[in-house]
Amino acid sequence: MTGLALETMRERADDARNRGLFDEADELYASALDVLAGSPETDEVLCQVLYERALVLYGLGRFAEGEGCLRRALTGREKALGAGAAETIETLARLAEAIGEQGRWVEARALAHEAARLGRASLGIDHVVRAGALMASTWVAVSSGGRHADEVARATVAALEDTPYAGSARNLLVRALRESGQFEEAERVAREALPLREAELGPDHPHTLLLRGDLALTLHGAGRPDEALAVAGEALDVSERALGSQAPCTVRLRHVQEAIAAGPADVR
Amino acid sequence: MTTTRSVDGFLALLDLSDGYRVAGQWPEAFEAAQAALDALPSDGSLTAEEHDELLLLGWLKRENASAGWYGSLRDGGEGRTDLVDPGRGAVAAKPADPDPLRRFRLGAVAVATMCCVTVSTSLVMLVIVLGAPAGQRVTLAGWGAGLLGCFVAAQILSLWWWKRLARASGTESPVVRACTEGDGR
Repeated sequence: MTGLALETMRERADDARNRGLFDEADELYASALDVLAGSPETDEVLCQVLYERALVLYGLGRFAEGEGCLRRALTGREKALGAGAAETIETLARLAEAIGEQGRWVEARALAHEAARLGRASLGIDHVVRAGALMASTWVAVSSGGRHADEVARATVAALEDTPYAGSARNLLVRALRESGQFEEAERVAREALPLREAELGPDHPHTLLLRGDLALTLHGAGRPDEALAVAGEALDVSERALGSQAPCTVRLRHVQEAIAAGPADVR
Repeated sequence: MTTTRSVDGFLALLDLSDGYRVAGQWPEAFEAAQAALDALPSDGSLTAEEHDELLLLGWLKRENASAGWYGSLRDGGEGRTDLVDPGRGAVAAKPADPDPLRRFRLGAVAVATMCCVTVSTSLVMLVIVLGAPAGQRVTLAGWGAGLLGCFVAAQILSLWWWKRLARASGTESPVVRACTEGDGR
């Protein structure tokens, strides 16, 4: 297989990943890794493909496999680029998230904090990876149900306003507010964030659709089940059409719809 | 800004930082957020989880103030982006150098002067050696070469020292120094 074929494969995989077609992207990244099988662990192309595949596995909910890819990429990048390199810090932040998704919050928090500390020590104030590392720490705080999660999420929205993470920060704020029972503010933030997400990612991207799911859960929590069901149903339709009936996003939205239909139980 | 370490003090300083931020007083907002971080108890009175969460909250407030400070300096500096990373301070804010080639020219003049002095000294020594009686020329040439070597070494050393002093004379704000030399919080 030639270098050109590898490059084409990566471009197609990136494109599929950016459109939220994670199964297709995963196959392409797996093929790219086969091509790179003989490369040294410090090879940056290998590390980047491992990193991107981990993002796809994350989207597919295969967090343990994603963690394995990120650990390999992190080892390679630490050796080749150093701990303070943007690529290394970015990998560390994503590793923290993959570990957190598996419920290992103490480990996740330590890694996310280390990424944020390194980002501040090594990267400029407007470096996107520095913002991404802070975002990972906030994600851990919100997802692990921290006592001050809503305050942390609010501070994150303010701090990352002019970064590419502004939309993700709002998503997290919606979750934090909903989980602390602040439904009115959660709804307002979700409705503000939705058009931004649609413009940024497109209306049928998993992140946009999951934000719709969050809005539905917020309305449900606020005691407006009819509106909640309508929003959830609409998001589920779009997800089934665009991503398929077995895509993780579709499965999650179906669960949201079923939970809302079941009654006033607490749904996260 | 000094304070005793307590969660209440920490939160009060973060509120203060927010107040400064809303008023657009970025350096003050930054310093208040930094003071809040300094006030965060680390004596084990908080659980590790809560400590980390509050630490993150302080980091975010400080980051927000840094970004605002950076933006205001950048805007004031007519779009320059190399001014400062407030709180990290890799580059101290300073007015634009009106003559960016000035340092280069000074360096070139110093090196040229060194070369001229060295060549002149060598010529003087050559004249002395050639003018000496034949039996003493070898000894004189040895002494001359030794002296010339010491002279050149002294010049190189003084150039290096001058460069080091010039670099050390740059100013740095106490906030910048505290953050770059502190405990990384």
